[in-house]
Amino acid sequence: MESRSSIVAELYEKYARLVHRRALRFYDEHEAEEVTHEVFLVVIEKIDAFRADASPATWLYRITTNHCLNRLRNRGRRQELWRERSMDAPGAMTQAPVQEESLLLRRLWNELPQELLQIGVYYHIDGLTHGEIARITGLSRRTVGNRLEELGAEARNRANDGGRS
Amino acid sequence: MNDAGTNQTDLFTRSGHISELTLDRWDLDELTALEEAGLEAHLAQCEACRLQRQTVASFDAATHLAPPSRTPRTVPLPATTRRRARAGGRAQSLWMAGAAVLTAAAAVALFVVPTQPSLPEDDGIRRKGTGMDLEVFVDREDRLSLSPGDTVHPGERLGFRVHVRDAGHIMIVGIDQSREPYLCYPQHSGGAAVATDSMTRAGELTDAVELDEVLGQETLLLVRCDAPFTFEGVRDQLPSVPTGCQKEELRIVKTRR
Repeated sequence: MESRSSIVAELYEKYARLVHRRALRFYDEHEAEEVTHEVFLVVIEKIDAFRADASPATWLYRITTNHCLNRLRNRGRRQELWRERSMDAPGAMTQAPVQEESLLLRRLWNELPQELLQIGVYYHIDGLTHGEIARITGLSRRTVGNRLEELGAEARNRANDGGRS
Repeated sequence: MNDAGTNQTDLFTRSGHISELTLDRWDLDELTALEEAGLEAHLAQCEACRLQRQTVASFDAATHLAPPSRTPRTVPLPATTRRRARAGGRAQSLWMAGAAVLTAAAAVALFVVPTQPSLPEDDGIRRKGTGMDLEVFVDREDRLSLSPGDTVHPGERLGFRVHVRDAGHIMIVGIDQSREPYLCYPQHSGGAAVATDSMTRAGELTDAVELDEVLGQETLLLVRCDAPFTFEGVRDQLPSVPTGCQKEELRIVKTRR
């Protein structure tokens, strides 16, 4: 049986550049490299939860996104950093145009439940479809749709509250 | 932009281009044959995505991080190695101390030769499985596809998208909790299956079905046979299908709102 350490080493060799590029959506180059290393520390902790039949790329993409969002929150960083980085990272061409929802998401990101924030990022920032978000998160498409509706309602409520105050 | 249909839509962003994750999965050989065919067909006609792929490949080549094993689809990797250009920060120290095996992996970084996106060498479809896909969606504005175990409600209309690799005759049938089969598609052929050519892409069917009040498990079956067949001819043996025929199945649950 392949040892745990050799599995992680193999993952690093094959997927580090994917993790690095994903981290560049949130951080500058120097910090993204540090984040890449941090993500593989997380991988060491979580490797037992990885299913052999799952897509390693998708799994690492999700872990990296979660780690970057947690890291931004923990450090109390301003979302402007995320906004600046996300637009000039390699692969940014595939993003959906910035819309009102994504602007609202960026404004609320530090207050939203983690799952809602992740789904919002995948949808409004990365421009992914319900189907791909469902595949990445392991939720059903319908649940993804429901979460996005919740997010939209939350954004509208906040906007209305802000307008009254 | 995205005209590949069915599950293939998940390969693309909402703006109709291939997502970065999908390109990575393609490079790493993680896509199904169907997905791969859809991606390659899109790449063949989308200059923006070809450029995107080149940009990402060039970026990866310059970052000195380990490349995926499958990157050189047409150009062999040179067996050159070199050390990482610079160390990271705090995490690097932790990493060095706590995961020696990772350090060893990181020390070996291969040069990547950026490659042009490769185009299908044949029809891009691997011959495996039943060669069919059935996607069911609730016929409303968002048209969200249903996954196994998803919940639907009486009165909702279900629509269908299918992909059939091999020419033949197809039909979609449903079986509710009372085990009563009903015909979903086609609804205007007198119960005869529809002849279809080989599809390279998924297509959406014109017929939808409205769910009745029978609650519980709902099984939807796409049935394909080489020879013509009728609903009456297969209904008594469902969910089994005649010898030589294939089926794809989706089980969902019908509950009250």
